[in-house]
Amino acid sequence: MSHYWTSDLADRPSFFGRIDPRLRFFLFLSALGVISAAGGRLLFGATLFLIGVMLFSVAASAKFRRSVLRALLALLPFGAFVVFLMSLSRETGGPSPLLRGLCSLILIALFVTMMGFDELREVLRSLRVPSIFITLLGFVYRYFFLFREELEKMDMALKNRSFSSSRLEGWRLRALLIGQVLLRSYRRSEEVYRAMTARGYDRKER
Amino acid sequence: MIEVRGLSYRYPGGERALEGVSFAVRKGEAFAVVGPNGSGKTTLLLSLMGLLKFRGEIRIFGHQLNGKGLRELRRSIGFVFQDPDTQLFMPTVGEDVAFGPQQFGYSGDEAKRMVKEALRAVRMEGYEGRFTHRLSYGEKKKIALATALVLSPEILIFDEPTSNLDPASRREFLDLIGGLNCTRIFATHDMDMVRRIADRVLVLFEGRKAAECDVESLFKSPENLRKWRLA
Repeated sequence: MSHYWTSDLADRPSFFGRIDPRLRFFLFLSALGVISAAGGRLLFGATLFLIGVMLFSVAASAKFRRSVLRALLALLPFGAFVVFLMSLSRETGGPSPLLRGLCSLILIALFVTMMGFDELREVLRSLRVPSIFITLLGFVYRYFFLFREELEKMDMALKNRSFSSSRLEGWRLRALLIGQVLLRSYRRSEEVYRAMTARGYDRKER
Repeated sequence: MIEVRGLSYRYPGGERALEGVSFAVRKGEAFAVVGPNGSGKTTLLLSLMGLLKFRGEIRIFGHQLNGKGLRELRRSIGFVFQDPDTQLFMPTVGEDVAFGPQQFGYSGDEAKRMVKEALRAVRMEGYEGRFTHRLSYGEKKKIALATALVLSPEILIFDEPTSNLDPASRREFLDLIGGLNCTRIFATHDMDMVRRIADRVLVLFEGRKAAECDVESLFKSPENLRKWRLA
């Protein structure tokens, strides 16, 4: 099965790749702060600016173009979910939530294409972020693929043996599948804890 | 080197996994634990690492295996889990192999040197920076062995070491295990591996000890092998 994630998307020889990783991280955090706090014209300006940066980066490198597209495609379901949640909220707040959502999507797509996972951890280490957070981030990264793989295999097995043409039944089975993945992840976490203990882990951060 | 007396274990639901198992493992020998599915092999191995709360007595290097000094004992015992995805929990190979040395307080440079040596021992030099999720199953198995070898253990425990490996990877992995000088204990269904590597065998059947003998004696009785679902 093929995998891609930040390290595969990151295009280091690009224009952004030449900027110091700490500065890139700082720019990302700053932009995140701006789009979280800004409203009205500032938010509109920030959206245009980010779209401009994305277009510039896409025009600058073919690999970057593919990476940004893949990142955006991967993020779209999440974005759609956020927009759906926003639509449930009583406070609509005009177009701001949508602009904020769009900005966030572009920003994250740019971020993952600008910074590899190993680079991100280096930056966090250099910023003296407690190592427990970096270790946890590593665990999430490591097991993300495994659970995706398990989910894909289970989905394949489901398709192989499900003969009902009812869409509702299909969704019901998928919900059961997600439940199974959660159970498996619980079992896996116990096994991993045993593996860590066998190698000297005693709940102390070193 | 290892003495086990009256080892019993029940799963949290109360189901019996092991009942009154006793045996001994001598220094430097390759000791196989065989038995059909559900006979308690993995439970036995996990108990040897002190990872389960069992009844009975386990003595390793003369020390009783209990809460006190357990961590220090684990420095001398390496464990290779059946599923390498359980064993390899860090994002990169280098970090994963270095996990053990870091837990035991080795400095960064020292840990790096140990990682290099362990990777060389499993013929995976230069893999330090590789992402774990990108490795093939056979490579993951070898790296899992490196994570156990990195602390130069006196005892190595393997749970189904050859399961799911293709013939070439299986042969390579058996060569690696066969070439080690430490005491090796492995649970397996792979009777060819038992014949090739093991000195002595413990047969488990329905959670009880069915036999403890040398390899030749085990294969002399095809009837027993069939009875224990090993052939």
